Amino acid sequence: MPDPRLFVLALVVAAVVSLLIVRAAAGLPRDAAARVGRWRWAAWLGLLAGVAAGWDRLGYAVPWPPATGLDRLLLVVLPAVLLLDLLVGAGVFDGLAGGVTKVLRRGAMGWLPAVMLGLVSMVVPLVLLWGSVYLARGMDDQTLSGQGALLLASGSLLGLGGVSLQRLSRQPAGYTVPISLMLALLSAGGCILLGGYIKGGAFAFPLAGVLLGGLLATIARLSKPVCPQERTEVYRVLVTLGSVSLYGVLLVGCAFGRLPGGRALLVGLAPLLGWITEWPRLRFGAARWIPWVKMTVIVVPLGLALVAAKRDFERTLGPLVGLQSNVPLPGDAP
Amino acid sequence: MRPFAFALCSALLVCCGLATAQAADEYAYDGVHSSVSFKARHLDISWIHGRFNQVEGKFTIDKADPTKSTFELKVHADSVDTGNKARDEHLRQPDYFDTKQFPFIEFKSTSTKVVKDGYEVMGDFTMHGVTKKVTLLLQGGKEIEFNKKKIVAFATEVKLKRSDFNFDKSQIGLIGDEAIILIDCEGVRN
Repeated sequence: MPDPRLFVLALVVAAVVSLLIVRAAAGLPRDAAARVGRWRWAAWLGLLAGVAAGWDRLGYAVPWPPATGLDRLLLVVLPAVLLLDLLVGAGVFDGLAGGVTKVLRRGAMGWLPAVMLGLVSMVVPLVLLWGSVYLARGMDDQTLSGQGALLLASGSLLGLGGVSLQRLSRQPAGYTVPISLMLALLSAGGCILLGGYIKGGAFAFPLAGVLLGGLLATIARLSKPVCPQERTEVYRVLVTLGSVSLYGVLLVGCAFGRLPGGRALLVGLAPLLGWITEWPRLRFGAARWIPWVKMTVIVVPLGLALVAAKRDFERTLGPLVGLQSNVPLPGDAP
Repeated sequence: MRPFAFALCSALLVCCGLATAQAADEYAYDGVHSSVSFKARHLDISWIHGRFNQVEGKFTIDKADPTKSTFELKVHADSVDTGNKARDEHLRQPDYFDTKQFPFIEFKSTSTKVVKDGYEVMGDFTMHGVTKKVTLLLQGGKEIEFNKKKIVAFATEVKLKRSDFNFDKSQIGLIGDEAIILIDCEGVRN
């Protein structure tokens, strides 16, 4: 049985490392024009250093070559997302974006951005499931169309969910989005751990830790307040990393561990419930209540997922580690 | 004279070829009368036993030149069975066999040597995505004929360390690092 204190320690180490690096890198004196870009670099640098520190604290070696889905999430997907985000920030794709805009102005191919988003989102599940039975033809009755549908559906959730959370983070109380992603990661980690996949569940803790560290970095500079653009930039990076991490952890837990699909959906979609306060019919009068309402509606499904996972653990794996099961198995005599 | 010599040489070559083909008998793994099982220490005080229910394999035995005999075994890791459904599900997860990522455990011989009571077979053993050189001492090899089918059988056991095959080290403790794999295999000649 793993020691739960180890996971908490990995979370704290990841949070402290990312907080210190983001603050140190972003606090260097420079001209104002470069500030926002600097925050982007600082945030990514700090967050990935935090993930690495947390991973190390968990006692795992660098998984090279990256043979499993979790290894590829750590060594391929997260660095690739960082690189892509930095390239976008540096304006490398501005020419391409200009071309797409021209095509759209002519009124043709209005679906192009959606297709591009879909293609990019499909790459992540493809990488995570690479070499597994899910992408091997003739295994587990997988057909080519079935594999395509799996990638498309899974990637669409990541793409649409990520874009939606980015928009939500620009609404009032935008900081609740990284918090909700952090809580969702903790819930996902707990559910995967209780399902018996220790390493997969443990990895969620440093990922949640870096979101906490990044958020603290935006409020910790009390002597020299962070300007709104800088804060928005950090939120954007946190939401990007949080969305991809949450998706990756859930997909790996679902595909390779014993996380049920329905529970993964419940946890994965919970942060989107933050939109509830933006719905005109449910718009709340006092702005100070908005964060509380958001967090309440998000925490409830995350808690339910954990309760269900604990119940399953007590029923199946509990007796294996010497815990007495009080939950009857299906088919047990009353 | 030349056509005669050519015909004689051709006949000899054909005969030699047939003789070689006949010497290497090919056998298919008989899943009904064979088993691949394992045992590992639990808390370092007792043994947990398990088996794999789905195994494929084939081997060729060359009587003329036994060093050319070959052995192949392919175990479906998903078919692990320890007599406890919850534990089997746990063993299929990435902390152990990771059967969705590494569906097979395989052995392919690379060289064979005749020893007393059987063969010493060196080969590549692949488990959990890691391939290591392993030597199996196959005991047996006695051929019998049953229901007009030629049957041969071998038995072997090999000790492996899970840590050598990239298993999660944090999961080594409750279940010991070392696992003993026992293979009892009957082959039916094709």
